[in-house]
Amino acid sequence: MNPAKSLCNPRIHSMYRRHFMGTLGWGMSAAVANFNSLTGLCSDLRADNVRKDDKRVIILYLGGGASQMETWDPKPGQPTGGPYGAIPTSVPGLHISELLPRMAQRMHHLAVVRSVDNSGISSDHHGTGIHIGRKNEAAVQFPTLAEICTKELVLADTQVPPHVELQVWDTFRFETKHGMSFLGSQYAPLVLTGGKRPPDMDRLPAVSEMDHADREALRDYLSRRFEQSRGANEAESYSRTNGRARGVMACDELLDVDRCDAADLARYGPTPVARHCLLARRLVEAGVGVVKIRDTWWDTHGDNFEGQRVKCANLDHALSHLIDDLVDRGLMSHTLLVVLSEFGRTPDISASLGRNHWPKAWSVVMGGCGIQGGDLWQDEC
Amino acid sequence: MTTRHRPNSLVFLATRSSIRAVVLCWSAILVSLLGSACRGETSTNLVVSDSPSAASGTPDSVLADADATLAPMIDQWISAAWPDTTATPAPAANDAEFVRRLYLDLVGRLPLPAEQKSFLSDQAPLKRRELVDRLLNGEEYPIHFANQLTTHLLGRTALPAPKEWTDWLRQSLTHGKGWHTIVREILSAPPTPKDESGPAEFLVRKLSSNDPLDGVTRDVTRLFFGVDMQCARCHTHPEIPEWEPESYWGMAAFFNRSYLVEIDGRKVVAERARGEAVYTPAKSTDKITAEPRFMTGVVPPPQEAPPTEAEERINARKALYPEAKLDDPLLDNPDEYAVPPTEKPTAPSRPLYSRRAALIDMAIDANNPYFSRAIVNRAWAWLMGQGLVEPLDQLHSANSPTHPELLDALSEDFAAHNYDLRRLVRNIALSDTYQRSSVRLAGGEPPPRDLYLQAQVRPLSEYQMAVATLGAAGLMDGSQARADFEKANTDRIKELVLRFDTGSDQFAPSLALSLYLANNESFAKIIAEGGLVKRLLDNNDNEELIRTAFASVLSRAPDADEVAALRYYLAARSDRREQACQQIVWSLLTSSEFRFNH
Amino acid sequence: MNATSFDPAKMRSLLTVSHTSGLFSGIFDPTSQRFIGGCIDGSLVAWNYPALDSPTPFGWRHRSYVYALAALPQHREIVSAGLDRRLVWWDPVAATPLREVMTSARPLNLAVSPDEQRLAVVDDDRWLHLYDTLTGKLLASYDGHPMMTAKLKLSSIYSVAFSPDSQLVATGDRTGTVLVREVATGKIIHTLDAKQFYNDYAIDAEGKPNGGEHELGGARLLIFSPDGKTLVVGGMADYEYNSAATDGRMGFIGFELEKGEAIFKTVLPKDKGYLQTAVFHPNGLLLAAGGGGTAGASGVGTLCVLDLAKSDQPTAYPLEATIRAIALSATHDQVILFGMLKTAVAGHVETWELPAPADST
Repeated sequence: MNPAKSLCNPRIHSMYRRHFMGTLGWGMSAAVANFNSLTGLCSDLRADNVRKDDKRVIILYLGGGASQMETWDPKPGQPTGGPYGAIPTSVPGLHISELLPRMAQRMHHLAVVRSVDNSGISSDHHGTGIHIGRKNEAAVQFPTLAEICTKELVLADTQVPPHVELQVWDTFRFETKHGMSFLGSQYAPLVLTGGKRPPDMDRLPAVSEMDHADREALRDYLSRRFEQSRGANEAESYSRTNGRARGVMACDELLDVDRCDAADLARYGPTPVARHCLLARRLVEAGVGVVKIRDTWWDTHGDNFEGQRVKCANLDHALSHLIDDLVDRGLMSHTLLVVLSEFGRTPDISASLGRNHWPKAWSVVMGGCGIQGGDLWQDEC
Repeated sequence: MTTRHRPNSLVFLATRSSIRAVVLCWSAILVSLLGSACRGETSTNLVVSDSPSAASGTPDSVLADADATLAPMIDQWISAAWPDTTATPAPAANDAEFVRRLYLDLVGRLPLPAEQKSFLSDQAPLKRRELVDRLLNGEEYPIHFANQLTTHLLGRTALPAPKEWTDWLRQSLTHGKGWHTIVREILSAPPTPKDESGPAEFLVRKLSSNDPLDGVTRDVTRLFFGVDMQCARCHTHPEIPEWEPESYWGMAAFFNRSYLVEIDGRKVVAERARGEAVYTPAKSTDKITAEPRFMTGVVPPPQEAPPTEAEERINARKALYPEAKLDDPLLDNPDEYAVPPTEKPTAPSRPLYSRRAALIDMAIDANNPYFSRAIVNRAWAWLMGQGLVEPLDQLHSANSPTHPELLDALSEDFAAHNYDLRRLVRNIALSDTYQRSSVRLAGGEPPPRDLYLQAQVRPLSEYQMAVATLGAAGLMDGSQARADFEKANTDRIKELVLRFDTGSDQFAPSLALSLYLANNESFAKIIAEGGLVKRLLDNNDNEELIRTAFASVLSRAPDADEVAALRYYLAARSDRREQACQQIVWSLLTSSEFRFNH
Repeated sequence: MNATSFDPAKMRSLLTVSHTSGLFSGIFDPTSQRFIGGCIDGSLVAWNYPALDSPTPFGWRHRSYVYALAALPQHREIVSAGLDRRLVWWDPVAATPLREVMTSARPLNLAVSPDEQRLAVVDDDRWLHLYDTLTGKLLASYDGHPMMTAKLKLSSIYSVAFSPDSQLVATGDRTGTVLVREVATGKIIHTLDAKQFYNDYAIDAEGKPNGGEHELGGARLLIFSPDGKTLVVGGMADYEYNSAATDGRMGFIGFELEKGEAIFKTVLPKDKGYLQTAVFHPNGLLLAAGGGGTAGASGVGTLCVLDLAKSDQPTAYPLEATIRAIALSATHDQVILFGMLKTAVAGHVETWELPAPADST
């Protein structure tokens, strides 16, 4: 094949340039000097190995832009540091915001990157930059990181949906909804909004359970005859996907957060982000490959300190329980947990106490899948 | 790697000593060179009897047809590329396969059972050609091809498109308007009354996007000239040195002066007399002013330097519009306009020198190979399942067509015949290549697709799928004109198009769709109330019922195993026959056979 | 020469000074006869009255924003509350700290009873703590505010005020719930609804309300009228555009205390942000200020005057600075505004003249 044939196709452009998770290759330039533990991960975790090892990904997306100063990168005492202090953590020398006291006791499970710069790819919510790892383009629907992970990690014939997106409440108004990517709809997430089940999960009353199963068997029989006579892969994948509908219906309970264990529900509490962290844990336990939790409204252009404080209180509770569960249940070794936003917030504080959008230097934390807990990456200054 | 044999090479003559092929090839070229004047004469020389597909229903007919000289030529270029003489093409599709495929491709729907039946029972030797002609000259071809072009130009989920656009496109296709005229109208987007605003829809949409200049540049280049130069926006292409930022920005410079104004609550395309596209290449901080330049390097006649204007006059305009920003069109010199910009325009501004018009004059031209090749390649892909160049929008020097001479010949013929889509489609449809069976050849791996040894199994477009679903469920019974059917079912079609949209030109099934098919009430309603189930229930005889169901949904007769399976299914549900029929229709409609053209 | 009245239409700005740190709180201290402000760098700073010159920093500082200040003229002290969880008593003349008390949560506001017996402190753990004003001894702690907002965020108490007779204390929270209690017993005598100031209006991309998670606001200001009959609550209302900035408009709700019913609701037509701070002039007019702004912008403020008898006709003066605190001078002929100009690091102090009406001269 002529190597140039597809080179300029921007769709392919984006794909082959990156390894899996491409050293945070979502267009971010992180400080590379201390990256040894991560580069090791990237070279080892090629998709084939990952598939074999049954890896999972949970992305907790703090939509609107969490403030790095009020979370993972506090700067107390600085004029723009804000009113909240820094507290020591379970990692000697590492301090995080006092707004995250429970997380402070669990930082040995997480690595912190404080030097994320995605200013080239998005500086407002409209860009899907951080989801797709590149600048948005009008005519091409690039896949999200989560979709790429789904494609690379997940075996096609799992009974559970391979990729689930949990929209914690509403869709954040300023965020463009991500359309179907060119990878195709099979990698697109099954979206559960506000804890609601996906549409069309219930068998219509007019079709009995037996008939629902039998007509599916009939559909499968007819389809297989066609596929055998034609040998067309696309036809087979269509048929297999239709065949999974009943499998997903059988997962109904799994997708319903209210049917989680009562003790778990009590422990995680009532906030949407916590309930969805619980649901995410259940989903990865059940074999879902990629779960993205979309939290919203971190966008504190006014009254930032109150806004971030109430969001952080909920985050601290939810994320710490999720990490405890992942550790206790032995999931941490093969589940990658990433907590990020579309950008951070400005060090500058406006007179209306707002912090605005700041893609130039902000923080992401991640853990699991062999990531060295307690690692800290930041620019030396 | 095996050497590819070219029909005009000595190797070819030695291995495939077929004078006929050479005659055909040359005559086709002659036809395209000399135009219609000598067509009749040339064609009489071409009558030969040993068509490669001598199976049932072969289109021998083609060969007596003056306007179908391309069809045998297609077959020759295709067969010429077969690796050796042992390559065995699939036999021709049987009549049932053919009639379904042709209806889907030419008119975008399934044949009605009555139409199938009459075709199958037709004994006329030229019945395939007659069907092709009947469909191409009927009222549905313009409807379907308007849909295809709408999907192509406005996007997969753009259907149903605004009435003005659809009406204009259908009219254009009905009257055989050439592709060059269609594109000219789209890109010139002149001000018109609302009823006639159809062609402007394209630019209005592209200019309404978040990044209008990038949107319009990329789409015009990609959709009309078959080249996606997106990465040249920032850097020179690593393999194609002629694709540099100047190429992309040269194209952008034809559009940076175009903008939208609102007149009577409607967006209209306007253009300015001055204004530059300025860019900064990757790893640079320079600001470069782009010169308008077609991607082949051709430049339009230059615009004259702006006339000098008295200072007072400029200041008077500034005083008149104190709110206007520095680059506001209101501050432009009105002498450079046929219709100058005004504060509350009644007509969009039109400059004396229009860069868009310059592009139209340069690019829509027989000397521009990209223009014809882009649409020919795409039409080929619509009917054959893949382009002669893949990806379809990568029509560049480093990406050779699978059959270069064929693409050249088809493109030249297209340009020589008034850019007539109908002629192009007709010839492809009449070729043996098109009419081969899709049934898997015996033994081993399927042959590479680009040998065209068998027909491709290709997914229906979202729109074909929507119309086919409604039609098969019984909502289309032949009593209604197609346009009326589409109008009456606009909402249903719209929903199904969105449901079947895979977000991609690539086929991709999704769980959400599967759940929709399995459990959605409105989909169940289409089946329950479409009319087919009721007709099935009229049959007391189960075999007749099964045959009707197969003919209506899969456009074929069931085989013995299938009859047996469905008989059993019905027998087990004799207490709930209506539900059983609904379930059978559901199984057929959601089967992979229904989802594909084959 | 105490001014007993002024004409709201004739107010004018007198002096403006900037400071190296944003001002979050401020008072007029009768003891030292100075204006004292609390800053985001944790420091206290005093200016001479009325010249507004010679800013003098205090000798010690909080480790976080100084959220609130109050004067204790009978004790010749002042008290400050910082987000470092400290309450600090100061000698305002010597500018030195006297004592400090650590709090269990972050104190967001404080108030001193007019009889100077009680210091009320409210915090982000939704407690009302009553201290002995002089010793700093904790006397009582009351909860009772809802723990979470309608959008399941932890609520906080933002505002606190004593009645003129020192018998009642009112507290206002993020949900817009205002509780009025007896100081002596802690008994809640009114639960008032100022939910107009809890903004959870969110719209989707098409502009339709989507019942989303977004929320902002709370009862940011509480003040009893001098006659003790009315409780005025302030905040931000009519938040129609969920830009995630404080760009709703300032509003008042007046509650008649006898029955606990709202008697007026006033929203300023143009002025954006939270109504944050207020003081009653002896003539009965309410002088209030605050600020906010549009997303991405630096912030603006407003000084306004409300006549409770004509509550629908407030007088408003737009300001460049965003105001956190207002105080009345000893002679009642000036107000001083403490706040920030454009950015939180730029302190801003501004005095306004309250000219007497033409007929009273």
